[in-house]
Amino acid sequence: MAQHDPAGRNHAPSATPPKDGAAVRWKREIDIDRGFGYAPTPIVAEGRVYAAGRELLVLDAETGAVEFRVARRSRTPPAVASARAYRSPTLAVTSSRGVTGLHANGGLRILGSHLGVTRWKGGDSDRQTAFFGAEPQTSPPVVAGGTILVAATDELRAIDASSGKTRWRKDVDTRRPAVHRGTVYAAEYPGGVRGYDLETGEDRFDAEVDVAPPLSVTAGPDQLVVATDDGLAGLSYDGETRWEFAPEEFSRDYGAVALAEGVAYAGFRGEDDSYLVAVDAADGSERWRSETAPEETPQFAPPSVADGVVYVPTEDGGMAAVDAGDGHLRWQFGKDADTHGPWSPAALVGETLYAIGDGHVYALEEP
Amino acid sequence: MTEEDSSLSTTGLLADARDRLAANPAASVALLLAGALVAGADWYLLRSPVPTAGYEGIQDGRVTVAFEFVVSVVSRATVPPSALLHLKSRWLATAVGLELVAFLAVVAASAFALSRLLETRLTLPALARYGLVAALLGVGVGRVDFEGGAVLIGIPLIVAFLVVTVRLVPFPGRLVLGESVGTALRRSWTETRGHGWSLFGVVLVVGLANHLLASAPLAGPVGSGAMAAVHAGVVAAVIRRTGGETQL
Repeated sequence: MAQHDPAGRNHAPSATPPKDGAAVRWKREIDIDRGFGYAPTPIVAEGRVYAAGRELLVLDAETGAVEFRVARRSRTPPAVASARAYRSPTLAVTSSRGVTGLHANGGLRILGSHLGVTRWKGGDSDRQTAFFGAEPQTSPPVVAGGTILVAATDELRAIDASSGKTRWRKDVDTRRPAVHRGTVYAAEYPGGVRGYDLETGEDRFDAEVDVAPPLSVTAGPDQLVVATDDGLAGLSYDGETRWEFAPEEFSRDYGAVALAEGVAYAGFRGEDDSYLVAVDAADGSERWRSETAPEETPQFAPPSVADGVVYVPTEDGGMAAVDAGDGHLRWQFGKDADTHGPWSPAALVGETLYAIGDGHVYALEEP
Repeated sequence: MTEEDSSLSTTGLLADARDRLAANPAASVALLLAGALVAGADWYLLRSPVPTAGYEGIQDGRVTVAFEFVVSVVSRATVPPSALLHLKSRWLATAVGLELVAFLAVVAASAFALSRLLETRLTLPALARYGLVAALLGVGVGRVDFEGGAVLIGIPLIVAFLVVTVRLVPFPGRLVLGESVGTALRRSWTETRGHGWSLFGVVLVVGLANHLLASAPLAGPVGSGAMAAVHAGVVAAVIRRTGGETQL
């Protein structure tokens, strides 16, 4: 799913993607919207890569061979969820028309065509998240167990991945929620951070961030890292604001945060340039700032972290690998060939980095 | 206007249907029981992990005339065919089994009700023919749906579909009387000539009431079963008042 896990940490602890350089293992053309914003992150599950664009393209993760295509346009990454009534998982796809559950393996294959791909349709086409000055978008679905969480304008909905039926819904204006130990955390601007029981939707948590209104939330092992109007803040699971990182020379708005081994990584806007900044999640102190800034249209792209490297699609094009220890640029790929808009955030699985850039789905590995 | 013509008014047909149902309470009971069985199947499916396509009722802002070519009961939870793929065997058996049981119960109840109201003996070939037609209509277009923008966009199609619906009101009864599908279609068409507006009124009243009752959560199919009894009563009334002999 987008941001790797239900907690939204964007950290793949068991992955060892290319560290000292990148070589193309395979690449496959994809029909995507040419725009200023970055493409949706491809997701990897069940040995397949699911890439959203003007169509949903499903590839073999090992070889890049096309497994099937679905004529369904989406601007958000899909998510794969286990479905208790089925022998195969459900692929949740969001669009401006709502949420649709597809057969993750493509339905019935007859004479090379895939028929009956749809399992269920849900959601509400009237509800979609719109960013000022940008095209309307929907938040990516988040999967926790057999539940799919979808945030849309003024509501958070929990959907059964098997039946597509709504388990519960909350009237809350939020973005991608984060799940930790059976609780769904959602930043409700400008009110505070709310928590709901994953199974029942019952209210579990309600805390204001002392320093600034919250925009998004990432669930760490022992605290929430909240992106605010001013910067970042650490919020304990008791509802206490532990620290704030909000230097005067920086600003930021929406944009996901990565959290790995006690360090938060996020894009910040300076007076003239933007930066990728590493913040110690123990006390909110700055560890380093890198001029290799994440792409920020329509919002700061989420960094992805694995094996001591932070991967970001950059403002000046392509995919960059930044050292998590000191912030130096380890390598950059595809900077000059970018003619289809910015690269997508990275999906990190095994020894491979998957991303969409230059009108292709790429699988990059160590040279 | 002849006496026979006046008896084919909308109110006359509905009153006749009421009298026939009062004289044959078993017909109503059968369809109410079928409705209760459909409601039970719906209740189970709606709580199961199997996807269902729900019935959009009046509370969803949908107004429709739920009147099918055969006497039927509206289900509030049907499993889309594509949702059956890759189901675990337990859930596949459950979903298909419940749909099949509900379908067979409605077919049996409606054929039984029509035979009682038409005061005829229901034969196995007639029942099989009726069930086959119901099954074919179940996978095709069997209900009059005209609503919202569709009224403006597809008026000619809607009018044509309505004409066919009106002219085939006696069709399910003729099948139960033992006529072949071709004969039943032909006789329905000819015997309803000149009674279009009266039958249109019946379709409108029964179809709208069916939709309203079917919109009720949980108990919707039971209400739809009650309207199925009215539908059957109207079919019997039309056949007996147009007075045609059965041609086998």
